[in-house]
Amino acid sequence: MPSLCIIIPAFNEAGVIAATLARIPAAIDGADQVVIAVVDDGSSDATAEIVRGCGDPRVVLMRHLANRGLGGALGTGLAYAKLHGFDYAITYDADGQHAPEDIAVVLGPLAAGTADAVIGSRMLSGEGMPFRRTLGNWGLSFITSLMFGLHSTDSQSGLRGFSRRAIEGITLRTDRMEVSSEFIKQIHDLRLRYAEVPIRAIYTDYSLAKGQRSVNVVSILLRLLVHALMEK
Amino acid sequence: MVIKAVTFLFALFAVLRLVGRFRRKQALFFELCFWLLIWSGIAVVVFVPQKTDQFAQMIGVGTGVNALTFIAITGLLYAAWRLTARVQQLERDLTRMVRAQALASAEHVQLKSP
Repeated sequence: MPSLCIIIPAFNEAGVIAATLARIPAAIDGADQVVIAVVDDGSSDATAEIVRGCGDPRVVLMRHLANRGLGGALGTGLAYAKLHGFDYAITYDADGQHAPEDIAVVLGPLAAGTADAVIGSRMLSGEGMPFRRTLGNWGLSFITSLMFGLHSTDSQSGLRGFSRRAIEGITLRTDRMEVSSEFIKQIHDLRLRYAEVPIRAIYTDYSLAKGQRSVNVVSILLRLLVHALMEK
Repeated sequence: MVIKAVTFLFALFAVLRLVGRFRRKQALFFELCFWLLIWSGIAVVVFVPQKTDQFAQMIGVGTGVNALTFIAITGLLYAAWRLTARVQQLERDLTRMVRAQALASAEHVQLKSP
């Protein structure tokens, strides 16, 4: 009876979180028990109240007293999945940019036992991603592969899946947006079996405004560099 | 002359504050000695600048100004590195505490009654 924890980090997502939760399918192929762990990362809007009132008993709400960033929130979600012994965990953006049917696509290689870490790549399908974002994503993925020795076509994707082995092994050290590259490092260092599957990106004005801006690429690279130096 | 007066007053102010902190047990003896040494060095540079040239020749870096610039940049880089490491550690500790609290108070959403 495989169990799946869908981790949704949310920071000031009051405008979209209800719709994002409502779109998650009632049944997901490959998982009998599904829990949706929403990590409210110190939001100052009504995100937590909206999650509380969504009426879906699969949802568990965890609140950060202070904003810790994307990495901090994902770390909390993974810690929850580890604590409760979930077979699989999938990270899923709160801004509605993922197609709900892609959850099963990412879960596929995990449930089949052919991978421990799966990244849903927006670059493989080539659908919907604006050119500037494609360029930034390609650059970050290239530098991430140079730094950490594992090539991913979409290292910054928010839709990722992990087996229990990965859930128990991964220990995130970064708190902010650079966590996406850190996942690649950990997958490589822990020698997890890695797979990529094509996913569709749904870009709206809202998700484009919330997502990584071009200037963030420089910031992410600097943070990765500082972390790499401090880890030595 | 103005630079000498301003530096002297600033150094005096800093040393008095330092001694005050030490007497109130807010600073360690090591800190007191370290900062007294730093301010004494600054006083030497301002009031007896030719001494820095002797020091520069001793460590083999041209003039006294070059030696001071070299030492200041090295010291500042080291301080920045130490501060960055300290801030990173504090950030990690904060995340650990916030995470523990969030996990301990996880709320299960109730089924909405029709």
